[in-house]
Amino acid sequence: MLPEELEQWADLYAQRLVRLAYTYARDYGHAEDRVQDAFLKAYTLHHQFRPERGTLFSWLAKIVVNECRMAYRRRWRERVMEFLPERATESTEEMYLTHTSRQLIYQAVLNLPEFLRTPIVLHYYEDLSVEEIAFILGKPAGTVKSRLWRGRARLRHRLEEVHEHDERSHSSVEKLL
Amino acid sequence: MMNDPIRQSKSCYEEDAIDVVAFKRRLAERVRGEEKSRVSGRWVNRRKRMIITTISAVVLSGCIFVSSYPSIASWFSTLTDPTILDSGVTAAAREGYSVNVDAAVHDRDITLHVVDVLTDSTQLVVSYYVERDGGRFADLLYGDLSVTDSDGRVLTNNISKWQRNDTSNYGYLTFVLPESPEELNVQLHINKIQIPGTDLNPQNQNLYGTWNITIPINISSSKSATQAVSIPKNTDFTIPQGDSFALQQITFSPSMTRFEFDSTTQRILSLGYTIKDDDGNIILMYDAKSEHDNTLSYAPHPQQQTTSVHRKKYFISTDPLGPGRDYIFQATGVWIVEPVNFTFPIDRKLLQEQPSTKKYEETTFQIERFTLEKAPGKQHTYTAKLQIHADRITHPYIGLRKWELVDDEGNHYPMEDLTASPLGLKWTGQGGFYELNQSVTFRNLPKNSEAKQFTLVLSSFPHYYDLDWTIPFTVPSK
Repeated sequence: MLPEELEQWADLYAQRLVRLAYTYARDYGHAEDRVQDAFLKAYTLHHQFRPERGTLFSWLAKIVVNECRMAYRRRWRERVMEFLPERATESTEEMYLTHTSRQLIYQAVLNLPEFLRTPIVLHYYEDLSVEEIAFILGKPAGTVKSRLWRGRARLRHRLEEVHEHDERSHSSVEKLL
Repeated sequence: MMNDPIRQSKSCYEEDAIDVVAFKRRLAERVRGEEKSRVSGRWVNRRKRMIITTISAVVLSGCIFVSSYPSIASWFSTLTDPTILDSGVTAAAREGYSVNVDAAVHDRDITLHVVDVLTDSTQLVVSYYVERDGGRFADLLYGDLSVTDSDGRVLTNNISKWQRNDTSNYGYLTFVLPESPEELNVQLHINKIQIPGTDLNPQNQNLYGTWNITIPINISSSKSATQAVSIPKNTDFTIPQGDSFALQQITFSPSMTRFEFDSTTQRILSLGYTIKDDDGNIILMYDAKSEHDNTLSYAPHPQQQTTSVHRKKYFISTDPLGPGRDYIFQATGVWIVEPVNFTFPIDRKLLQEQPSTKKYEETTFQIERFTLEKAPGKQHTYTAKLQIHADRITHPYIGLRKWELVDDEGNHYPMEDLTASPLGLKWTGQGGFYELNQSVTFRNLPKNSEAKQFTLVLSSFPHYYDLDWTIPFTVPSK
């Protein structure tokens, strides 16, 4: 049996928080682990939750973001890119979906550096206000606004590159821009 | 403006969902586990160990930063991120299955250096860096990158993985080998080097030139350390249409355990499987039927290698398993794309009044709209546009894009550009089904199209088959 609070948090927020953690981990198993880490931490610190400073979701999201950052913070960083086989066949069906326009944007969002990606995810996918994001990230609202602007600019550049390199997606990317 | 497209891509963000019941079950297990740890004091010790490990990692990575030529062994041995941890490569490199190459090629004031190659019998990992502007960088390489045998036959020209170390600025290319002749050549014929954008300058920069390197590799020592177990023929699975799929062999190389499958013409999308150790612990699990990756540990999707026109070889691979230990491989199900002939006659008159529906297995397809217009600027051809909806789609299979329009004379018209328009698949959360909302365009229909009868045809569809293979195997001792 789960303690009542954890049970409630899982029912209300696990789905959304795992999606947020996925933007860091890129693997749902690991994303779930991070959210569970955050829940366990939040459970021991729940007396620190101040409703006047933000919603329960924002508070939990803040802990999830910190857990993700801790888990993936390293002295050096590496990126992994799975390359599409050049002769793509039906066995690469799911990868193919990344060529659709929404997937293109979502993948571009996932590939943004963390300091730009997380504000974009929280604002556009989690529909949080600049103030709520500022609370989660521990940054001033002005910084969040600037990062949202830079994130959008970066996405535009990335999609223009895709446009340049993949003639097939020409029209869809044009529409998006 | 970018705002709306970003919001629209929220559907991709929300496409996957977790099993909250399973999540809560695991969370409850962790709560119990942590309570026990606290009682015994192990929790404190674990935290101490973590701190020591972290300090060691920082010191170790600092060493790598000042080292001129970090070998694959030193680089992979410092990997701590579980999402990319490849302990198999680390172990193989430590055991000496890597060679220092130190090859370089220069063009247009840019030098491409290849430093080391991991010489495993199942995969090669090539480390490189680009020397330019007085520094070295792990830039992206474009061109023909392949592994051939000594006769020049291409074994693979796919990079299965590209990794880069932002601090030491080494890049790593992984080639998975479909077969393992002792003498190999890694051929890097690079015609473009891409400098990734930075925060200050987000635009990627492309440098064009010619950087060709051929590196002869001998994998005989790794081959002699590689063992394989053939699987009895009774694991064949034959689908109703007659094609077969079988686990053929398990290969134990220094850097991985590889399960090799052999199939005839059918196309395998994914395989559900579990690997358990002799204590019944799940080492690896991939639930292909689940609505999202139910991965307990690192479980790459099957990789496919085409061996001939009619047969295909599929791999799933994992880190090396314990030598001398017994394991059980259980295959639970497989997604196979099968040819179908789903035909949906278009009744244009009826469609003006209401959508037209037709069921295929569990899925109900609906043509919501059909328009036929003269193509602008091409008065002698027509363009047809359809809006298709479907519910209870079981797999996000892209073959759903391959609609054809067939007229009453049997002429086939393919749909417009397969990649340009969104597929419009959305996960509904109801039993793992997807919903399809697709806009399809057919161009260059003949001038007498107004008088023709058209039928919409779908020629392939994915099906899931349960498998019940239980294959015990023992990892050979070294």
